[in-house]
Parts: sequence; structure tokens; C-alpha cells
Amino acid sequence: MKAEIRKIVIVVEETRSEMGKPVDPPTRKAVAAAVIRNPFAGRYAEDLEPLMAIGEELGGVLGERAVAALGVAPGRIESYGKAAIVGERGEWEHAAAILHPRLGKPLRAAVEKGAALVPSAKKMGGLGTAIDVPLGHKDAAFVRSHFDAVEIRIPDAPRADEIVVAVALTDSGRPLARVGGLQTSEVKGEDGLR
Amino acid sequence: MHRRAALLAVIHNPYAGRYAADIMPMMEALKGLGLEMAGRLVRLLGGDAKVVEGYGKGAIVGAAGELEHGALWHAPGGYAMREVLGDAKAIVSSTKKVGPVGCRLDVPVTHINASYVRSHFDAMEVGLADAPRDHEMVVALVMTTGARIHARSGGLQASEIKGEDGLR
Repeated sequence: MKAEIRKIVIVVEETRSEMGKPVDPPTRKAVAAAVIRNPFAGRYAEDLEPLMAIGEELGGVLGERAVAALGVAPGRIESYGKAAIVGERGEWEHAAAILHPRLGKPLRAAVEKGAALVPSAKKMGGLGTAIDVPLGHKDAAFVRSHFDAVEIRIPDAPRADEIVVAVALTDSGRPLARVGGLQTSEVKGEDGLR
Repeated sequence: MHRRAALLAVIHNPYAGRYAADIMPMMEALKGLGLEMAGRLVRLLGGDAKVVEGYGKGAIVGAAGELEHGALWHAPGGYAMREVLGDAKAIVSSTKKVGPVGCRLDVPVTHINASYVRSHFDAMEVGLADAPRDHEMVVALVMTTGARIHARSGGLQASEIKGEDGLR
């Protein structure tokens, strides 16, 4: 099943200063989100395969759009995350079927590599529900400077029979990161953890 | 029955309102709070740490603070839960933001011993009506007792966990 996309929203957040100190180069986060029709709104479906196919499609579409929004080569992407908001006639598990089985592979292709787990969040909600998309380093989950999140909110979505699906990417860690832990310079990028 | 529990603390942010280069002392200072919160959360779920299968953490920094202050919660929050739950193996996923009084935060949740257990990928929205004030931070821990309701999206099952690398 192809996703029936009502709209795509892309947001880029660029932080140039924090607590009065310049952030140079600026840290940048992009979120690409699609509002899609939920084919299973209002009824229980045992087999959620169509949503898994939609997840696969959106992993590529949203990953590429977010990379393009940052305007960098795919290999320059440093962290990623994903999230979904299911409209009120859907089911919590619909978010899982989109996010978890197949969205990751095309997303990793869009950002080159991606040894680490793609952190995620999901919820149900009405129009204008906000969600925090968690972010983690794409090749080494323990890189502490890249633990982060970015909020996305679409005022007119999700309607009751819709789902908002979001992919977030960055080309940087947090602004002025200074709480220690594993550093990007120490990443081996083999096991996805360190 | 599937249960999710969150414990939130509202704490003073000593670095609010100015840039402080060295904020690491606060990380050390939060260790006790992390352990206290993790213990209380287990008691909230009945007192038996064995029922806890998923976890996550998060922080909301008040308006006079800096996003980085939220990062101070990673080590004390995460390691406290791992310790209280009996040396849990998986990384504790997290979110953070700077926000106003009443701000909500979606705390991501994953399996405590194997991050890739698909049935346990989840999240819980938390927040408090009167916090964080501008010189405060809300720190949060979340624990869950099992898979998502009606989980049927395949992937690694909890019964298949090896539990060696924290991933599978």
C-alpha cells in the first residue's frame, strides 16, 4: 500500500547562540513529517502489513527530504530519530507498525550507514498534538553529546483518521555540549553502541 | 495488564541565568536523586523490580536555563535505573527540551536488557502544570511492565533476548 500523504511539513532549527555564547558553527536539526491517512482507523486489523509498507516508503521520502533541508551530504548527518502520532480513531500499535519493522533501512540509506538504533517515540492525539522526536548518534548510541530531541507540532494534524510520521536528523550535537561521556572522535561505529 | 509509571522531580537549576563552563558538579549531585527516584518508581509498581521491562528518561529545562543543563540527567538518571533494576543492560533512551511552566515531554521507552525488542518500543508523555519555573528543571524517569498493548509488529521478541550486549 502506498501512503496517502495529505501534507509534508519540514522544519529546520538552527541554533546560533546559547546562554549568550555564540554557537559556531550553528547546530542544526531538521524534522520532516508527513500527514497520512490511516487505512485502519476505526477498526481492528490483525495484520498491519500495509502500515509496514508505508513505513518503508516514508523512511526514504522523509529521510531524503530532511537531508535536503539541511543541505549537506548524507554522510555528514550525525544523529537521527523517528516518531509518530496516531489520530484518535487509530490504535497505538499503528505507530509501531509504521516506525519499527521497515522504516529504518531506507532511512539509513538516506544518511549513509547508521549502525545505531534509531530512537523513537509514539503517542495518540488530536489536532496540534506535539511530539518530541528523540535523537541519538547514528553510528554509536552512547555518544553523549548527541543525546537530544526535537519537538514537532502540526496545528491541523492528525485528524481522527490520520497519522503524523516524523523523521528528525541533525548535522551536529547539542549546542555547547559539555557533560562528558563518549565523544564523536572516539566512535568506532561497529556495534552501534560505541 | 500493562502499566506505565513516571516519576518526576522539580529541582533548582543552579546554572540558570548565566553561562557556566563547568556544570559537571551538578551531575554528581544528582546521583542520589536518581537512585531515590528509581527506587520510588519500582515501589510505585508494587516493589518488585522484576516486573519492570521497559524504561526511559527525560528532562525539561526552565526558561532561564540551557538545553545542556538537561543533559546533566543522563548519567545519574540512567545509571540509577540500571542499578535499581539489577544491572539492566540496555542504554536508556531519552529526550530533553527547554520549555515553559506546564511544558509536556514525550519520554521514549525501550526494553531494559535489549534495545531492539520491538514490542517494547514505546513512549509516555509527562509534565506538570506548575513546572518548570524559569530557574527549575523537571527530571523524569519512566518504567513500564511489558509490551505495548496488542503488540503485533514483529521483530525481536523478549523471549529471544540473549542479554549480553544490551542490544539483542
